[in-house]
Amino acid sequence: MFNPIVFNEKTCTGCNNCVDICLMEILEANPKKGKPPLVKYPDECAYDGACWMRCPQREKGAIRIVPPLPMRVSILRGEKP
Amino acid sequence: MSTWHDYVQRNGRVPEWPYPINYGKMNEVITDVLVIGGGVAGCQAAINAARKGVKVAVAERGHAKRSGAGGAGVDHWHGAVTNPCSKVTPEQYTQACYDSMQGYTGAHVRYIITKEGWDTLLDCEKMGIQIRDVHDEFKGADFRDEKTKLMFAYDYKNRHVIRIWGYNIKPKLYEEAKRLGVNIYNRIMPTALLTAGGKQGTRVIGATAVNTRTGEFYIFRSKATVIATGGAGRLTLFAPEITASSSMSDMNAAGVGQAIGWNAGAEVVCMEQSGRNRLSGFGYAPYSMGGTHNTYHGTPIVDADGKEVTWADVFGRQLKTVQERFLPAEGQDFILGEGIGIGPYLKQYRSNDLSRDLVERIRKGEFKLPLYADLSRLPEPERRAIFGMMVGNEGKTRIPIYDTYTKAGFDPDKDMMQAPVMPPEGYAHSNFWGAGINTPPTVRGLGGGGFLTDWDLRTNLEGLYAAAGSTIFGGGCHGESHTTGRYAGRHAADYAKIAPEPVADRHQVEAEKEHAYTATRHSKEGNGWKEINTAIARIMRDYCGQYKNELTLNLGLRLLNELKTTELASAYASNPHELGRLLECHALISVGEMVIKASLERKASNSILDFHRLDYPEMNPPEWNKLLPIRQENNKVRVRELPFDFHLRSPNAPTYEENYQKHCGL
Amino acid sequence: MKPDIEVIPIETDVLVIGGGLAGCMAGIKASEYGVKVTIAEKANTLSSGCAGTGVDHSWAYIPPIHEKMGWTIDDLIEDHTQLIARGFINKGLLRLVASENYNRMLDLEKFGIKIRFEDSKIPGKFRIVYQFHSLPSSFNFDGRDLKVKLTLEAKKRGVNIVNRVMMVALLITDGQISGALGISTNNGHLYSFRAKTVVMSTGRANRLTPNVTGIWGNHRIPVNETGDGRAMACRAGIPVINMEFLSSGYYSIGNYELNLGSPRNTVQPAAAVTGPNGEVIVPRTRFYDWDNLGKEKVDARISRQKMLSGNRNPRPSYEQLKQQGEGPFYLDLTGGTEEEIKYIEWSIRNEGKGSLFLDYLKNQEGFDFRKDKLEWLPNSREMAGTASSGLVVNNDLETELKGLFGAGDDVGGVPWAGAPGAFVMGWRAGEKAAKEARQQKNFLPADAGQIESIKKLCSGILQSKEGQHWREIELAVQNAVDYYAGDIRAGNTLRRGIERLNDIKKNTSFRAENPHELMRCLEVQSIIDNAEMVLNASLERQESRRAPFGFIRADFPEQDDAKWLAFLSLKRNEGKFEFSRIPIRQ
Repeated sequence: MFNPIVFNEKTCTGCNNCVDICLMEILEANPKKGKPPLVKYPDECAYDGACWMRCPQREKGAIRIVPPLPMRVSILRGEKP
Repeated sequence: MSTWHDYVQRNGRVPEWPYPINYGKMNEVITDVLVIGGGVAGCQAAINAARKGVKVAVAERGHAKRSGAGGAGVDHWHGAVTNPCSKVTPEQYTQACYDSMQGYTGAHVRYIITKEGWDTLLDCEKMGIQIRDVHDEFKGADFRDEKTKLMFAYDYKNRHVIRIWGYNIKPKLYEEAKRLGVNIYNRIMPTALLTAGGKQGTRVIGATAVNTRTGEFYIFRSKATVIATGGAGRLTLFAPEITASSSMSDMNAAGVGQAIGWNAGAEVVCMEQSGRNRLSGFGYAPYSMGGTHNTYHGTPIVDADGKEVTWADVFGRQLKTVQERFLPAEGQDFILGEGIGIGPYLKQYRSNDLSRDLVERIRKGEFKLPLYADLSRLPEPERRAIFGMMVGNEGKTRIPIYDTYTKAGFDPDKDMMQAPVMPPEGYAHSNFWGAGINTPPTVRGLGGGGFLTDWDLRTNLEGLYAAAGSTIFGGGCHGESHTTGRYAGRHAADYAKIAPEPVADRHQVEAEKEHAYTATRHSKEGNGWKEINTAIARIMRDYCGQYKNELTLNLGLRLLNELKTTELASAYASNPHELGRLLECHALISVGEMVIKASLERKASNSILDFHRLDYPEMNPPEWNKLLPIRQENNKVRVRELPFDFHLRSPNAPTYEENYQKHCGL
Repeated sequence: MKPDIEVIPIETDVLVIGGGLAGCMAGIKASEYGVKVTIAEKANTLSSGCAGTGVDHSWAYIPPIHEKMGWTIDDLIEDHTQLIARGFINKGLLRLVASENYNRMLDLEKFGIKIRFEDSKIPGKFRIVYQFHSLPSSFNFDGRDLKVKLTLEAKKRGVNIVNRVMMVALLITDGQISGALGISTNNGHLYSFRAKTVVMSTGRANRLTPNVTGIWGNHRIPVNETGDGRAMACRAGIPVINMEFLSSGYYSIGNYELNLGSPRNTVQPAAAVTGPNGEVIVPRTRFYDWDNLGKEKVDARISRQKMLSGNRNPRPSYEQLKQQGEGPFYLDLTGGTEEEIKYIEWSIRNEGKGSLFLDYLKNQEGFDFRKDKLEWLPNSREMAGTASSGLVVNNDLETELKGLFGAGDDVGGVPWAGAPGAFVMGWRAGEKAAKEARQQKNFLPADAGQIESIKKLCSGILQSKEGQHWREIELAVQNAVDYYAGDIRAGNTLRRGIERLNDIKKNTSFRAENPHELMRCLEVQSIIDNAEMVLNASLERQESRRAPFGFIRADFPEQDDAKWLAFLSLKRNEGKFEFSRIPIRQ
């Protein structure tokens, strides 16, 4: 149902650090070497961000976490003081 | 206030010398292989000689557990060219060094280094040194290989320089040597080599030395001897109020090995080569190694307004990403990596660097000083590798930089490191970190010269082998010292197995003993060793500096001789430690003489050797493109001419590989 | 993939079950005694446990600071006992944690964790803030990658870390621990550990009630902490306490559940809770005036009084306020200075899930603390941190089973022990377990029968063609617990709840396609065991105890200290629960 983890195929090197570290064991290494992992159990994501913190190509946008709509915070926007 | 001062204040007198002094008491050590110098090269020599089943003794001036330029650690290893990830061959690497130096390098030594550098590193791994990212701290990083877990520096494509966790490399070598039964004699200051018949130029059969704690005399009799004593940092620079004034070399480095070898008649070459010395006591960060061109290589540099300085490849093309800094440019063969005693590099091997026009742009005001190293702009794994792995393992960085800065709250994720403020030309090369470009160019340090060795790493003297980056001609940095030590130790052992018994000449021993204790017999009015050392350095800087002529060189010789026969001859040592330091001054004078005599022989200026003769200003005239090895014979200097490729000419084989196969002894 | 389950035997002197903060500390300390140490971890120690993606606070008695204030360790203990626990606490364990955590923080510094800051004016250059006590007593530090560093330290010391193994049963021989069994979530094989001593440190018990947002993984506490330790203890007949205190859901940052707290904690000092027109419901706080340190001694009793009474509002019941027509409520940092907000963002980055949360807030929502507010909404129910359920241990962290120790959140009776509890208890349990293991010469033989029965259970689940998906069973159990052990409970409903749970157990069977799903099934099994303990313990405690955790029985509305100022311990014996009371000494 959900799509919590989005990989950028251009900048992900397939190192699989995220697969190793995932708390919920929801990622699987891609059978094609060098390609981003597969999200096997997207509904079991805990949104802790360990995968994102561990990614060595994070600054190049290799991995992004997208919380589903019911999880998005409720914001009251204000004016800049 | 130091505790010494507290003691004096409290007790009204200086503390007594804590060891029993016995000047002149004889100690004889009989061994198969004697290694002089217990640094990384010396310990490797000892270990590998011991593995061959011979008896080994090491004479170390400090304490072998942490002595030498490599004693405080190392963060990367050159020469492991045959590692499984490397795309460079020993031939290519050797040719790159040879071509860059236009022949003024011991290429055969480079070849040996690149053939055995990786195996030597694997040996270190077996001794307990971490050479791979075994704990997966950097998994997924650009500089790491997934399969072997090796981490690389400089050239992430060709992968021949390896990043290692070398903080404890020295204690591990020490333990291994002890485990193998090597007898390590610490606090031993050699005074001379012993030779057959006591003559100059004959077989080397041992050495004499003085213990710097007890003052006792040591006679080492050995079948084979390896000299691995490092460089001579205190020859041209000595500032007693700034400790660790030269970052790279060990403060104990007084060229003792070169001196005793020279006095015994060993041949040296390229001693006239010099380079700009490092005054890292005035640098950033002081008391440590690891310049911007190695440990911090690739770090973004910004100006005072946060504007980042662009990087360019060797062809002047601007680099767009941080990653490109670690890759060879199109048109380059591979990046050699800096700090290996080679320079200037040819374009196809040179590292990427800050834009060449940086100096101009600073002058024009485009970049505002001071400049800063901004680690936060590095990708996170690179940042963690640099500050935490490299800084932390490289020599003299763990405590002075890593621990101290961390305790003070330095945060590499957001804090920056300021580069020294210098005249704009000081920023011409990215290596303005701690390596002291602030040093005036007149302050020289020795270059790549040293003992001339053959394919067995033997000197011209029978029984005498040499190793270590700063001791032999053709050596390099840390890894290369290990590798040459390992090779030389092996060969020394092989020779020892078939060599005749060493017989010391009584007269030579007596003369040495007499000479060694001169300073203890003088009055307290004599000069102390620091003044002598300062004088030596002053003479070298003034008379054998960047620019010299026949007159200045001869004046320098005269002054050194006068110093030797007057102030040094009447200098006073109040305890064995000071005696040791004065003996080092003797050595420094010998090395100074060597350098001046080599300079006198080269009657032409030379850009590769950074050698400027005011009286022979023509740069690199073709008839002077040759090596000029010198040695002493009956205390007179003998010079000869040697072609650059002597190591591939008769009696050697015509190719590197053939020579290696014939001589490696494996 | 339905593999044939192999038994993989592993011998280790000390086995640590659970590689969170407590488990890693236990492993690290145990390694100093020359014994073989193994940590068995369900996920990966690099990111597991409550501190998996960070922890920013750690309270302790800090001599260089507190001595200057004139605050003694007894003062801190009193603070914690009265302000946090309202007396409902194991004081012996509390003293241990309070007095040792400072040393543990210094140990963490040795492992490469930054606890000092250049801009700090506090002795030691620490950052110390208010958290639970009337005076600032909490380190605020760079704990973002704490688990990575602890894992590295453990590895450097030769600790054997076995990741992706879910432990399911303790092995007991001749009245003492002899090992434990676990299932590999990768390949389904059964790991049979033989050990001389075991440290149980599996953390909290989560997923007992449905998630309020409907997003299964969206929990303040790691969603894979399913009280496995408690479940294993229960099945082995080892006593557990405080299971009745399943709290009502409290308000916090809504929708995205994480632990920021207010007004003290991660978002101090600028955070206030305000209403729709900016009216202040919970005022913002101030940092301690460190320039005053040492100038005058503090009177601990007065500072405690101040905190107990009006000055710091005990958390208002937002639910009640809402029912009175108040609200909406917002976490409001707009009154903060630039410096304060920068500080708070640093702190958030170091708290669990905080790094990702901050990145999401800024980059996906364009949120700016200087002008925007975050709505305060109900979070999912949890086992109350203020009650701290878990194993019964003595001050040496020994359970009643010889050779079995407990550490961290798996230990009952120390409310809000949290990270300090994990550090201290982990360290101490590691030491004790190692020393005891050293004295034992041989391993005890394993119970082949039990190994066989676990093997059968797991193969059965993997090969089953019928049965429900684990999510179905979990939801059924969660719904039952939520209803029958609701905010207000009563005897008859609780009894019905126990029947319902038995029904669910009898009429369902697990099935799994692969070892990962098998693990989830086994987690649900843990949840069921924990749920049973919740209902049975709730039924047994015949009183109400509103503060600090809101245990309300409609049929026993009064607090009864004479009988019930005690930990209610339950243990399973041949299918039935046996209860006993452990009086709390004042």
